[in-house]
Amino acid sequence: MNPSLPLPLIRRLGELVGRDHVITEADRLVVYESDGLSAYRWPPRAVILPATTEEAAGVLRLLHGEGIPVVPRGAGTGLSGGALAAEGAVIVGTARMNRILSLDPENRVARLQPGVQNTRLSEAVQPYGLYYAPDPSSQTACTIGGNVAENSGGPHCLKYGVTSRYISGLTLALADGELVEIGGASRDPEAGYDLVGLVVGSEGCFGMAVEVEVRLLPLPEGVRTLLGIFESVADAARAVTAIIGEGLLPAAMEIIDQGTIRAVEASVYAAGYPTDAGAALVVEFDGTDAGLDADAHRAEACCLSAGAREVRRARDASERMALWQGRKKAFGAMGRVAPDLLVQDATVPRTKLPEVLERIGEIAHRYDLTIGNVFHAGDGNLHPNILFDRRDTEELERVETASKEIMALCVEVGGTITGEHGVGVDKRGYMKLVYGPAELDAMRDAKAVFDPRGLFNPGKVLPDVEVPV
Amino acid sequence: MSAVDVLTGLLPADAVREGGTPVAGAKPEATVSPTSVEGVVEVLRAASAGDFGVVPSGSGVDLGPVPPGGPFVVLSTVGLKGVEVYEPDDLTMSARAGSTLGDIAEVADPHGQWLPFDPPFAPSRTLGGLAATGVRGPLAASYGAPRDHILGLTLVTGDGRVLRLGGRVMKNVAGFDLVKLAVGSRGTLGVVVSVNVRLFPRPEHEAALVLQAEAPDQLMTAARAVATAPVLPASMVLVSGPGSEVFGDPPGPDASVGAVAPQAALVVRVHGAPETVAADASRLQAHVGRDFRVVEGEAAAALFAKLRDHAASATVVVRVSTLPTRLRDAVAAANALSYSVQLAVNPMMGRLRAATAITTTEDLERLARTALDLGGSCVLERAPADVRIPLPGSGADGRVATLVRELADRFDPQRVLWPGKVLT
Repeated sequence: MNPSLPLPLIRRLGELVGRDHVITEADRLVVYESDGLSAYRWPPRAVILPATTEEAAGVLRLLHGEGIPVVPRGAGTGLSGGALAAEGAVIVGTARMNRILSLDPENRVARLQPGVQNTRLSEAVQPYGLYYAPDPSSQTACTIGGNVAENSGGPHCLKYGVTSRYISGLTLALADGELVEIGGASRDPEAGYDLVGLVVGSEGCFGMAVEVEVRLLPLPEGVRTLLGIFESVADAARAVTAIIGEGLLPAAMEIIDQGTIRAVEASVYAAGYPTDAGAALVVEFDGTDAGLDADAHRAEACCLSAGAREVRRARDASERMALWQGRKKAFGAMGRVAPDLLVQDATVPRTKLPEVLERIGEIAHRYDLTIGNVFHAGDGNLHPNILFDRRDTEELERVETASKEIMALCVEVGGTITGEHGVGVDKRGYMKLVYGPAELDAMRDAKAVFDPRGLFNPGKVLPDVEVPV
Repeated sequence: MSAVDVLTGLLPADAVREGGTPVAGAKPEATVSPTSVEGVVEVLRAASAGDFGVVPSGSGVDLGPVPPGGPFVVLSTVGLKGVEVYEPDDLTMSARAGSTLGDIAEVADPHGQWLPFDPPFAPSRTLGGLAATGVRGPLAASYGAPRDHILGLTLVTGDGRVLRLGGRVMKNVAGFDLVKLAVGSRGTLGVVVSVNVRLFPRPEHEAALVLQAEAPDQLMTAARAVATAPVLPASMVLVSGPGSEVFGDPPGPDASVGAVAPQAALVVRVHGAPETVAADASRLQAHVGRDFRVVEGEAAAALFAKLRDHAASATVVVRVSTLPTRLRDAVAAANALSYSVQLAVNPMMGRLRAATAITTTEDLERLARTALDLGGSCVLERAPADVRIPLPGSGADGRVATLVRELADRFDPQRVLWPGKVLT
């Protein structure tokens, strides 16, 4: 059990944010012990919830002055343990920093606090015919600040790009509490260094974004959604290659395999996907309505030529939801099949997907594990999900070994260790698969520039630093 | 030993020559063109040990306007050409930094793919230069900027370390994003020797929607309408001044007395499937409430190429950035620079480029102050050595300037790259 904070410090923090928002009681801290990586439980020393930029900066300054490590935290939905409090750190959470500060529909930018939840932002700007494009699967819970930390993606990033494309500026509270403005929609993005680009995706290690300026897009006029049912993942992947080869750029292309389909159909989320299918492919086009039927028709032809046994088309919004159901509920469904689920996140060159999936199947067989695969077919970002029961320690060992083999395989074919969930705590051990000492040292250098004392979100991303918990 | 002597001992004879093309008016001691990464490392290590700086150069089109502040050699990437890996089905390519965008287009075009980057003089720019400058053309308004599509790059730091940053796949959040730090760092952190980039399928069909007027301010209302339309065009440019005649011929003898040739044009680029292009064109027309002239096929392609290079190569070229809604004032201020200024305005991205042969420092200062008053910034792209705009408070200051300096020093501890560089 971590010792709580000294009383005088609690009092000073209380003066800054209100005593109610300095959480030190063990029972109130429980919910902050984990994030989406539920296998770990690291109790924080305390949790502080500021409401404004000034409060957040003041809290950081105070804690830094006392030499206390700080971990910034959004909604805690992250899947790599990025919001876990290592070394008895204090969590500074953004739950009360949830206001949209300004909206400029003419310039298609908005300024908001980091605790604004992803879908709430799109809802707020929808009356202006605008939306916020990055759509991670956790978007009904996750925050924009968390998206900034992880450089989140989502199914529609194939066409629209990831979070870093939509952040035009940040107010960053550095580890010592000093506030800096970087970027800005009215500034010249080619003048000076791209510090926004460096900070987005830095997993809360370079400071805490206390204000975020985002770019908005016009809502697409129309959307067409298809669901292709295939005998095998290889067929579905061939359809994807053909669609790209036609020169089409769908907004999203997602594949789930048989293992995942079966888990979904056996659950309360059953979506009507045939359980004897090898794979299901969701393809979505959006944009000007008049061109979409032609795009959808061509994609359908690609699916059929690749051997699809059927292609379903959504005729309205509710049918569209039905076609997406299997994919969107995949993780929730798998979470019900077994007590524990290891969600992996790697990216491989798209053309290697069939080979990689076959080899993952072989690994699953060899370790006697059930693995369901969900992947972003257009960009090769792959989520092999291993079902298990952690109370079975022998099975847990097999899961760990299998997941290491899967990761090594993905890197071997030219991929990387994380496509969107981040390194956090979970994948530090894999960083040396993709980077050598020179690259890791350069990352350490950049981190040291922003946080010379190493007190900000320690134990994340970079390997070789042992983290006492 | 002189720089030439040192380098001649390290590289093949044909890779070292004395002198070379001046950089912003400053003459280099030598120009070296290594043909391998090891050669680049040798040059940088020699510079660290010796007493000269290194200025990396691709096409050389974008090195100014401030000259290096000490003895230096130019490290040209002309010897580092070639596509290393191209996987059309993956939409990814790795190429050496000296490959031009034209070279890459030749390789990608037969596969129906392209890099949607259209800064001035794009075909002759190098991929390494694109990465080093992060330069945006009009297509960045819809496709994003080079920094959004550079998946990885290899950088040789000022002290000769080889860093393989990023990777070869589109979705990659492994570690801190040093690729984004390197892109746009303009050769101050290292020499980019190879780049992994994401390509796009070439659109099937494209069209230019054109409006003309006598002066640019007459087109700003239409430009704002397009910028806020529910349709997102591929790009939009507003050009004015000499060279902005879209359809060539000045008024003929039948034109009414006093007719003035159009000196400004608004050109909207739409592309996609033929049905999409037709639908987008009519939606935009309806939304703007004006009759565009439509140009298609090769004529459209030629027009986009011409517009791409407009207002980019006079004696003085200045770039102003601000919010799109404040561009009108910036356009007026830029137009006041001289009687024959060329403008290239990007109403979707809130930037403009002004090019002129003659202007005064006072006029440039006025433009810079207007930009600052509009909450934006003003950058000199090209200028004679004696013309500078002092811009109080426009660069980064305070803690950000410190962060930037410290980052640069981590990558280039001996400050070999771009001696005398101003980072912010």
